[in-house]
Amino acid sequence: MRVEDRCEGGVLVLTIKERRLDARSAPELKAKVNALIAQGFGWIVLDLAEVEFVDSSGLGAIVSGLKQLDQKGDLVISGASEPVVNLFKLTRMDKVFRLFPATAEAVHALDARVHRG
Amino acid sequence: MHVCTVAELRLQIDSTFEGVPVVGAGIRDLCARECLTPVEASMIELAVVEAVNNAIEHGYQEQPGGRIEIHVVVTASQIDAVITDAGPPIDPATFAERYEDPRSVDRSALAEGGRGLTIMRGVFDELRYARRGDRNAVTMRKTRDAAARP
Repeated sequence: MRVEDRCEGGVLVLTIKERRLDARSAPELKAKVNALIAQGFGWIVLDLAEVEFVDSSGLGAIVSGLKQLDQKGDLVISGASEPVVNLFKLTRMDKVFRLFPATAEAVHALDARVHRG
Repeated sequence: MHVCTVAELRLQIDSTFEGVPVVGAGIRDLCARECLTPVEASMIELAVVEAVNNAIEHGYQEQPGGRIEIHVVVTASQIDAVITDAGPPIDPATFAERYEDPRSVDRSALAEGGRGLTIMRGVFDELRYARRGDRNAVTMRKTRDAAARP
């Protein structure tokens, strides 16, 4: 599982460099995200622009990350393709996660909340 | 002019997650040939992958050496998929519809798993389970959108 991470202001951007986020790769993503949260990262943008396919296992790994965050932080999604957005809608997870078309927009929205405290 | 007729895909894979992307690629290819849009094809792939994942996880407890059969038929009017495994019989109550309203639950109370059937039901119009001999058979059917047909 290739994941790139970088900080933009107070926001951590995780870019998934894989085409599939499925039952094979989900455990690794879950471990990676949970380790970063344990290090203290609380405002996270998960950039899915390069991901073509996410199944319920991949979604479960993303939900797992959100569950680790306290109520102050947030984990949002950027760049999801139409099938991936459909997955969030079918499972009603679009009511739980904010989905942004572009990473810059997602970072901007979270950064404003970081500074609001 | 490309004429869309009946087309089918039959695959057998071993009960490991390694073989699942092959199933996905086969379904995308079949759906593309039968004039489904890439997004429609992705959704069919997703639902079938969920059924295959369930067979691996629950039918074979993620142990290799079990056989999963996948049969997908696409016609001008509908899409049928059958996924079978030789795991123990499944309690039909497992297939009862469950409703999760995420707005009413605390973030920490969200389930990490258990959304596969919701996805299968959301993509296809019908989802059925039957025991056929010594195999579990999960059957899904979706009527194709008449307006989108060639």
